[in-house]
Amino acid sequence: MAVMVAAFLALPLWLSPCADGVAGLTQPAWKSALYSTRESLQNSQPILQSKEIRFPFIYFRQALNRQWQPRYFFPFLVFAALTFSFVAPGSLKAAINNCRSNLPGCLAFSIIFTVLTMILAKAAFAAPALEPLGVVVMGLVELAYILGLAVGTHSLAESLTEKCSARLVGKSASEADDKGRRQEILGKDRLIKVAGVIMVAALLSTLTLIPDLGRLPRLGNRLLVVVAMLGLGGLLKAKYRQN
Amino acid sequence: MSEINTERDKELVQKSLKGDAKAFEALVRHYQVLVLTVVHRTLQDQEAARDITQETFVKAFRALKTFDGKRSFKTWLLAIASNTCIDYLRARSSKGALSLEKILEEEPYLEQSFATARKTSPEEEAEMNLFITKLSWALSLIPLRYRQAFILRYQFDLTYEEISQVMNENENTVRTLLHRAKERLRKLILETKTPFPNLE
Amino acid sequence: MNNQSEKCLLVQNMLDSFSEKLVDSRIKLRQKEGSQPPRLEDEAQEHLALCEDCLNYKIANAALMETASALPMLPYDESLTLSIMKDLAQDFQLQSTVENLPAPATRQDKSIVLLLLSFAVFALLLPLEAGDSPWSILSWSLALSLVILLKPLLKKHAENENLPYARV
Repeated sequence: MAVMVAAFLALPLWLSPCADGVAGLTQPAWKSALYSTRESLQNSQPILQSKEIRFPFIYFRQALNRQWQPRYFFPFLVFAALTFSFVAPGSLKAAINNCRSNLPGCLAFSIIFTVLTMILAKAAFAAPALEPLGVVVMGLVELAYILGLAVGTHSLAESLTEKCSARLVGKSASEADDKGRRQEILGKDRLIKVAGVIMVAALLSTLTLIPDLGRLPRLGNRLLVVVAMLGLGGLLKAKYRQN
Repeated sequence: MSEINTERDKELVQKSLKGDAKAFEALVRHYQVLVLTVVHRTLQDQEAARDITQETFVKAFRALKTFDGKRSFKTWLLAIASNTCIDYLRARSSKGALSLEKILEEEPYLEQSFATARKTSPEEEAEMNLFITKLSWALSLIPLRYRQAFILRYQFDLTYEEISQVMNENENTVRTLLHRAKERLRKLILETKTPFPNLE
Repeated sequence: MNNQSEKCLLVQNMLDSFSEKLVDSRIKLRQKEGSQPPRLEDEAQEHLALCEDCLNYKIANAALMETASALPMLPYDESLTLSIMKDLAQDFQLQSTVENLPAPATRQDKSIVLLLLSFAVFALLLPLEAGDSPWSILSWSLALSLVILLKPLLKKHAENENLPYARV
């Protein structure tokens, strides 16, 4: 504990330029680089965000009209979906239930959420003092869409594997009465669920390959965003009802 | 028998939807004991069981339009009762220190109950020898969800599918709940050191 | 010793399975569906003759099942029925009044209207704020319609919708 406190106090001193002078040492190269960057920042214009992000709707449109790389998108989506199911299985279950029982309601909920947050971000970017808030709001929207996509993937996977699971596992009332068989069924069920998620994620990733169809801009990316909206709506409704 | 019941229930539901109070009263009369007993066994509280049974039938009537007959009226009604129990527990847990998950999954009274069980008087001990009393006592000591699954399956003879619909869980979870319930009950009953009556 | 405990575990699993089959056959009998009474495997019966632990397990299991089915029910309470019907009297009255009125919008209808309205606002903001072309709006509309077409695939039991909210 004492060592940690000492290190905590010593670190800023060691990093400061005075420390070297006091100790009579020459500065290492990385430290000189750090100081020169700091000095140049101190004398520069105020920090501003890149132009696009300060206009959330334009940023949104530009992001959608880009080609997304399925080789990155697929592992990311699988990772996000599986992590979410591991971290918050209860919320995921409630969100999937909402998506499956009230699809239009969930879509409406997330469209309203998107519009409101984008307007809030736009308003925040209008005043330089509120720019960090704008960045946080945009970050939250991105995070919400990633979670929404994970929920959407799970909802589609669940509906696809629901019937398939019963048929593959073959559970009848008396079949799984012993421990071993029960464990086997549980294992198979989990495996089918994961396989379903991977399958749907692969399917969704291939949607990113759909190019501009004539004058129609990237339909695949928009489809993915609507799936994310569906999942996000389910999640928001679950949280809203819980509160 | 079951088919006849299902058909009769559907007919009564249709009549109730058309505003026939007598038809709904017939459903209440037919299922009151079932709902009351299941809720009472689940919550171990007779006063609350009465209130929840009343609330269940009122909710059922108000949601009657959504009953499309894909499952039996009995299962549908028990699902409403189960959810109403959870709402009641949620309200109670928000007032007290225990979380809903804790109430549903854990055995908050287990140690206390063991202690009191061992200090009972000889008369009470003699009463405990009645196996039914003993099972009722043991049931009150296991987690709520285990208890609910156990009574639905072994007291009311519901199939796994029906229990999964009532408890909003999948069949595998129901199997696990039942297995654990039996394991705990066997352990609890054997620990009281009274021989099992031979029921073979 | 180890072999013995493994055998016991196997037999106990068979006994669990047997007792579940007994309950299933009781259900089938009640539903008047023909069902063969279940039979315990010979292997298990042979083991039971030799192993006291497993025999006790069997007796305990049978006792649990039998007693559970004999657990007392609460008596029928006429006052509770009357109280429920009293609570619902207003609903019945209201129902007869409402029957004469045009059908009110269901939750799904409301959701669809809300979706259309919110999408209209979204579609209006895109060209205004981002300079999106009408083709982009068309692309959005197509994507939305395609996802809505997935509704039958996603749909769960309709009965669950109006059930009171359970656990999250």
